[in-house]
Amino acid sequence: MGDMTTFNIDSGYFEGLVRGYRSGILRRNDYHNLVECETLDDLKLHLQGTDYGPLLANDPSPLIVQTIDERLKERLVHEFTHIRNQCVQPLAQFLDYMTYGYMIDNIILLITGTLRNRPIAELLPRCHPLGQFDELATISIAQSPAELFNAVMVDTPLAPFFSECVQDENDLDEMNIEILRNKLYKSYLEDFYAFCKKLGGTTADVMCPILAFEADRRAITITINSFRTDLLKDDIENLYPKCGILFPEGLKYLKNAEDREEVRRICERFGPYKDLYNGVGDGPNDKTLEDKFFEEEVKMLMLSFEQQFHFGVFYAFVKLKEQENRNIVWIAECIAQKNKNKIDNYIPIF
Amino acid sequence: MNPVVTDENVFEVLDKISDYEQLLKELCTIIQDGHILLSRAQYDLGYSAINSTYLPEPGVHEITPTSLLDVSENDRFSLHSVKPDPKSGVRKRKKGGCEDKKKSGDEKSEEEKKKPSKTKLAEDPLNWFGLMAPTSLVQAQTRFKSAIERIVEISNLKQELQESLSDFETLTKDLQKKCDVKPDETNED
Repeated sequence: MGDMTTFNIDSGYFEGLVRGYRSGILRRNDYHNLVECETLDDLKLHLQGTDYGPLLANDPSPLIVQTIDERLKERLVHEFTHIRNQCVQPLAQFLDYMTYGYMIDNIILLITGTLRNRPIAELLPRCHPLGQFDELATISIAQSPAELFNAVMVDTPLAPFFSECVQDENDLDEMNIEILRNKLYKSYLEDFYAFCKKLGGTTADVMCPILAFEADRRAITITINSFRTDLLKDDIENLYPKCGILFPEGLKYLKNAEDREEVRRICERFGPYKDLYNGVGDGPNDKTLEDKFFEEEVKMLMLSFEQQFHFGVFYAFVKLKEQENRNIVWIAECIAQKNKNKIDNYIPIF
Repeated sequence: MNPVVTDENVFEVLDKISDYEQLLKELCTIIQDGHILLSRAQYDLGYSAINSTYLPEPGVHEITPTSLLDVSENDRFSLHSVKPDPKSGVRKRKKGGCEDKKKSGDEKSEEEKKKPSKTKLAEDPLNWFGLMAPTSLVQAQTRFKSAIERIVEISNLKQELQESLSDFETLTKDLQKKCDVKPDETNED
C-alpha cells in the first residue's frame, strides 16, 4: 500500500522513463533483419530503423565491431546517467549500488593491466563508464590488497567490500587478483541483497530473487571454472555469495564437487535449477551453461516489469539493455567474420 | 631398366593433392571456429575481460612456449607439447604473509638480483585472462592448438607432394628421352 501511494512522488517520472526505454528494446523482427545483413554497413542501416536511430551515423565506413560495442555502451550510459542525475534517495543509492559491480571490474582491469606493464593512459579508456570513480587512476600504485585499501579504496564507495581482503598481505598476482575479484563481488552482492531487503515492499519481492539467482550463478560458475585451477576447497567456499537459494546446503555440496557431472546432480536437487542443464552440452546444437543462465535471467528481468512502483525495473532495464548489446555485438561479429553458422545463438528478449 | 610411369604414380600424386586440399579446408574451418569461440567468450564475459590488455608484451614478459617444433633429417616436422613446470606460473597463495616474503627475498642469488628480470606470466595462455576462464575460451584454445597440428601435417604433406611431383617429373622426362631415342633405332634397322 505504501509503495502505491508514495512511490510516484519521487520516482514516478523515472519509472515512466524506464518503461519508455524498455519499449524501444529490439523485437524478434528486428533481430531477423539484423541476422540477414551481409555487412556491418547493412547492420548500421537496419539499426537506424529501430530505437537506436542515428547511433552509428557519425562513424565512417568501414565499421568495426568494437565501435558498435562502444556506441551501444555510450547509449546505455547516457540513459542511465540521465536518470541518476535527477533522482533522489533512496533511488539514488539503489542506482549507485548498480554501478559498484562495474567499479569492481574496472579495478581488476587496471590491476591486471599494471601487472602487464601497460600504461595507465591505455587502460583507462577500456574501463566501463558506469564504473568510473575519482580514485580509479591511482590504483596502479598498489602492490597488495591491503595497500590497495589503505592508499586508494578507503574513501571510495567500495571500501566496505574490502573488509575480507584487507588482512591479505599477498602480492597481487594472477591467482590473488582472481580471488580479490570474487571476494569483492561476493561482498557487494550480499550488501546489495541486504539493502533491497531493507527497502522492503515490492522492490524486495522483485530484486531479492534476481540477486539470489545471480549469487547462485556465480557459485556454480566459480565451482566449474575452479576445476582447472589449484584453488583449495576452503578458498573456493569463501568466494561463494551467501544470499542465494543454494546457501547453505547447496554451497556445501558445490564446494566438494569434483567434476561437472556432480555439479549437475547438485543443481537438479534444487527446484529452480532442476531444468537448468536441459539442452546443455558440447554438441553443435547444444547450448552452453552460460546461455541457460542468460535465458533464465532475461525471463526474471522481464517479469519484473509486470509490477509497478518498485526499483527493480531500473535494474531490469540496465541488464536487459546489456543483453541486447551482447546480442547485437554477437550478430555483428558473425557478420564481420563471415561465419553465420551460429548467428542465431543470441537470446531474444521479446 | 626402362623408366615406367604407371597409373599408380599418377594416383599417388592426385591422392596427395586431394589430401592437401582437404587438410587446408579443415584448417580454415578450425581457425574460423576458434575465432567465433573467442567472440563467444567476449559475449559471455564482455570486451573488458577478453582483450589485448591481457596479452603479454614481447621483451617485457617472459613467454614460455607450449609446443616445440622438431625438424628431422629428411625435413619433416613434428610437434611436441612442453609440460608446464609445476613450480612456475600461477603461484599458490602464501600463508604467513610478510615473513615468507623476506625469506624468499634472501634466497635469491646476487646474480639474479642484479639482472633486470622479465615478468613471468602464467604458462597456460588461458590463465592470462583470469583463472576462471569460460568454457568457450577453453574450447577456442583447443581449436587453435589443433590448428597448429594441422599446419604441421600440411607442411609435411606439402613436402611429400613436392617430392612425389619431382619424382613423377623425372620419370616422365626419362620416358620422353627414351621415346625420342627409339625412332632413330628403328630407322637404322
